[in-house]
Amino acid sequence: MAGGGEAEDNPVNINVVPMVDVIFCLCVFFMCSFKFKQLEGKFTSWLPKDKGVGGASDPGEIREMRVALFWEADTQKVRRQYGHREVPDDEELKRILDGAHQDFVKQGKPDTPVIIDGAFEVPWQSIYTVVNICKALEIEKIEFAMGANAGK
Amino acid sequence: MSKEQPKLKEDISPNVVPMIDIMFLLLLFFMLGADMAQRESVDMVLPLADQIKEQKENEEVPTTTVNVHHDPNLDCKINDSAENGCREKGHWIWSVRGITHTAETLKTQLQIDADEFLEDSETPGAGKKLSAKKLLIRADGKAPYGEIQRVIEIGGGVGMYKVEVAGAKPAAAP
Repeated sequence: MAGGGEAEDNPVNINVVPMVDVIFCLCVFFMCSFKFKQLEGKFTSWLPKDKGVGGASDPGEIREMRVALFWEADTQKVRRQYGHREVPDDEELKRILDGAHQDFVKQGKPDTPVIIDGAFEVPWQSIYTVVNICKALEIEKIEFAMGANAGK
Repeated sequence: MSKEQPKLKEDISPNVVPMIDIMFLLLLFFMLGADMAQRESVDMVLPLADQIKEQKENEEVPTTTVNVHHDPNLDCKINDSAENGCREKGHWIWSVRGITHTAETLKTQLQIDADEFLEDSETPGAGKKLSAKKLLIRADGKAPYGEIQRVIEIGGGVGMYKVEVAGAKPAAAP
């Protein structure tokens, strides 16, 4: 008699329940250990090749774009200065650096770097914010210095 | 002669085949997304910058990554609670490929890495061949600037002048 095979005709019965259990466990394991990676990028800041490790600036140059960051231990805050002027606001610092950079460009010195001079304790994010402002203004030359004394 | 009512066999068991298919697909997705290999990068909160350019994974240029982060073995509650994090000098560590370094050992390690890829010719100002290898510094946003500056100095001292500092793009405002 023709017809489809009945279940009873199949002598090999595979029990898939353990397999489903194991797959559930593996799924839970990988779902719990799964992490979305934070998208990362980078800024380049190549050290000057021709000045050696010390990187001393040309003593003939008096004018420079120097952003100093100080760490106030009593208030646990960062104080930022451009020259002798305090610049807490990012937009104001951006305006100042843009103006200074344009001045140097007009003088034929477009490669004048921005020197970021921070105290040891200054959080890296504060320094990075200044680097970010420089990149927004297309100032490629950035130098890192460490000489700003706290409280001064 | 009585007629026997045919017994109706109703099969109520659910068909689990599609569920197993979906589960296999989910498993495959999460297995491919899992990253079990030891990574050069340590988990940390990188500083945010909107001008950052995203890193391409397949860059051919050889790079040494130095991670600057708070020592996870220290039970320092200040780093989690304070806005600007822990300012203790001894609490921040440098690590390269999962190994913590002091200033001396970092200099030795970076010298080895730098000497692997030297430039073709001597740089006149430096008086020696500088390294073609990049130095990527991944530092936590709360790390003291001095720690990063020291890494840059050590890197510069061994001839690694191509310094890069890693950051993250802030999440887009809704």
